Amino acid sequence: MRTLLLAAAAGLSFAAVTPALAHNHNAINSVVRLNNFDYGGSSQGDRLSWDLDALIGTYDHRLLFRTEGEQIRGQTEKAEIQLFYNRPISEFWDVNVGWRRDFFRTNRNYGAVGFRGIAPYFVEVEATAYVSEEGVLSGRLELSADLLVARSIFNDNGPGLYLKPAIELNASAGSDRELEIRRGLTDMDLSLQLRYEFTPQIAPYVQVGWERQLGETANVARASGERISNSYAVIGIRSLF
Amino acid sequence: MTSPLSRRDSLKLVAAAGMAGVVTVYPGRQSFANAHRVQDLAVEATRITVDGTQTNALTIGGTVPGPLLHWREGEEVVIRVTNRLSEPTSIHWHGLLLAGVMDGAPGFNGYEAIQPGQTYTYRFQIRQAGTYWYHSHSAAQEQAGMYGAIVIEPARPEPVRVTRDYVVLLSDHSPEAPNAIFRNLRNREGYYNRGQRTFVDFMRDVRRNGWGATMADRKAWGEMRMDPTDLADVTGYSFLVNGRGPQDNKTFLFTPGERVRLRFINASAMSIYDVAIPDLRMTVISADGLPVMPVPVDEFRIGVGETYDVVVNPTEARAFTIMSEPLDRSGYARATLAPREGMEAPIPPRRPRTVLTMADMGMAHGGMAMGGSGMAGMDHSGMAMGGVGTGPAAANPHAGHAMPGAPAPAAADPHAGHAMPSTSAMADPNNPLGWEQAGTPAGKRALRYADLRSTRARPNAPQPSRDIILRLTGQMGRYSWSLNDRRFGMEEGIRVREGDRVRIRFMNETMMAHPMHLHGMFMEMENGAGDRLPYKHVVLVRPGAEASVLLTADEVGDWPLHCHLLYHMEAGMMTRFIVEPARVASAG
Repeated sequence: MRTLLLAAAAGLSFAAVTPALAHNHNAINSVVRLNNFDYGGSSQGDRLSWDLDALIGTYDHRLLFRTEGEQIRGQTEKAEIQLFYNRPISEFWDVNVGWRRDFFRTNRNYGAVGFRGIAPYFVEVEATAYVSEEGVLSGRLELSADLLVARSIFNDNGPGLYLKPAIELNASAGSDRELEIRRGLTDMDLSLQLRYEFTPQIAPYVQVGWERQLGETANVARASGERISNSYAVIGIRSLF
Repeated sequence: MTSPLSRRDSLKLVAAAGMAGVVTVYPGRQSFANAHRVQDLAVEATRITVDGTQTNALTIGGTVPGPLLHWREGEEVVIRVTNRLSEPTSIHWHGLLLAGVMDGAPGFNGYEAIQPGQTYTYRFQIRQAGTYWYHSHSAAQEQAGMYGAIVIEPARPEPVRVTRDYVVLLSDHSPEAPNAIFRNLRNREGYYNRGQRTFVDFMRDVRRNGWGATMADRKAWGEMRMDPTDLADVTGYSFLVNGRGPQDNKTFLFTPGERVRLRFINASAMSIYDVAIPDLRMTVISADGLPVMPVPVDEFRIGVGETYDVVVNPTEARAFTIMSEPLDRSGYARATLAPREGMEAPIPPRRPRTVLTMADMGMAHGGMAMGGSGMAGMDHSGMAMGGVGTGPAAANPHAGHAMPGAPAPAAADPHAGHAMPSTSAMADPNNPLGWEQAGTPAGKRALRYADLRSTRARPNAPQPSRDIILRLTGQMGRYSWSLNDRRFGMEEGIRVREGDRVRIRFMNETMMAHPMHLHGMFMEMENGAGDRLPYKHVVLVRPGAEASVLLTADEVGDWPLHCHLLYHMEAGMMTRFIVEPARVASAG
């Protein structure tokens, strides 16, 4: 990943060519965000999950790396990386164009295009369409909101207590037998996170959630004796570097 | 004159050297023979102690602030600045009228940054008197401590007679490195904002204002994806007076009955202050260095980069607290006026922090016309003191936060000065609403921009030949700040011809106040003062409002015009104000 980021930085440096002025108004900036890293119990056994992204670039051209995954009882249920060229298209919206690769069930590559941003009422939105190397079109929609419940009772300027409801929905326009996916809605994840943010760098949380396969995908899984839903309760940490 | 080089020649040499990228010029001692003052300043990294805590700092002359530069109008000064940092540096003379290459803004006017180990020799004639200041104009340096005061004695004695004369230089100092702060601002919206409204606040507002009003308010802000608590982008500051923290308690001495002149300078990176001296009336006698008709006030708001000179006349043998609270009320700068060292006056009750309103978004319904109607604090807050605000920049309530840049013809009309209600009289002091709300105690008077009237009447000042529209724009979420939606480096600059008289209309489309600073020339602020428009080098444009200035472009050059909130400038809120020589223009 480090090499990947370095390569990305090198690739992007063309965008940072600016006259020798005093102000680095277009200087390269980078951030790594650990959105989720948690462990706990679930109805199918102990569960570990992660969601990390890294951004590097100028105001106008950025590279976005993201990895997400989940293990249940040590078994990888989901693991993927995505690499996007990211560009702002309006005050609140960015467009992403890039690549995704899955590392579970089978290794699968996708082309990806999507957008992300902030909808009215501060709803964070990420919507991406994928075309797999098998030619199957699929889509993912993620919505979340970060609600500030209270500041520390000891200090008006103290840590914040946040409540974050989130939903993720996946759908496919075709079937992919190796991935055990059928046409239609395939799965969803509903969660509620309560986070105590000492600083943006140190923000532990507890989270409960419910993930479930949907539609024909769920029917096939059920027929083969798999459980199609899983509820979980985890503790974890969010951070920012 | 024994000098082998005339002053003009050596100036040219320095200019040429600057252009050529050669930053060290030693014309030799001889050529300084006609300079009245020669000063050496070294720029270096060091540690400073504020309220007993050590932090890193960059200094000019070894201290924060740098040494007070005391000059006299008409004299010629030579300042040799040596860079002992490991990065390029610069010093800009804020508010001074001088040749462009001496202005000290790298990348402008042929001036180039001073490289490590090099010395740059500034040399210029002092063409004005008053209170000014100097600071680095290289990114991430000024806020680390590179600033100091300049006091210029007038060539002829002033009508103002005082027995004591002090500089009160306000600044903000963070233990965090400037680059780290800038990175945090870019990486997370509201990184430093700890005043955001919570669910607990929501329930309190429901109790106070009812369910309907509270929901409508949250809905309006939610639709715009804006945060009404965004008053200061950065917190964690210590607020300093002449480099001293509130505990250090910088003390200015007086003998009861004496008239004392206090020269306030706001040298902060990001902090706009409300300044008051409880129990002591101040008379404002100059703004941004130049004299104004005296205005008695109890308090004033001072934007970053502005200066105000006030005279106080304490008659009792007691201490007075000079209290300066930043807009986000995250702390205070404090100093004491006292007959003896060691005396203290009480710290006045801390003022509550205000919450922005739709008026601050330029969305007050009907704008100025509604000055006297209902909706209490909300409409009034859009138009009272503080910014030059000639009312909301866009009166169209449907305009959203992206306001039309269409030149509204009435906007430059300087109604602002007339018969403004005092905000404090009508608002709840514990629950302030609107950017203008300073929490002024009942019966006290705050300075308004409309109060500023130059001592110099100009009844025959020509009309401007054109209006230049400068929309103040930004995207808070990305921490991208710009002018006319273009960040510095991607814009084309503003071109005028030498001698042109123009109006600049600053239309603030953001929800933050921006202290807009022009190098090289004074702006005449259109505040309704008729033929006595005050001269300003910084105009604080309040959120969602428009302010306009007139100026005669009589200084040829390529001048920075920027927001003086340093992280806004760094993010791109800067452009070039290019004054082309008249003869070139006529030849073309």
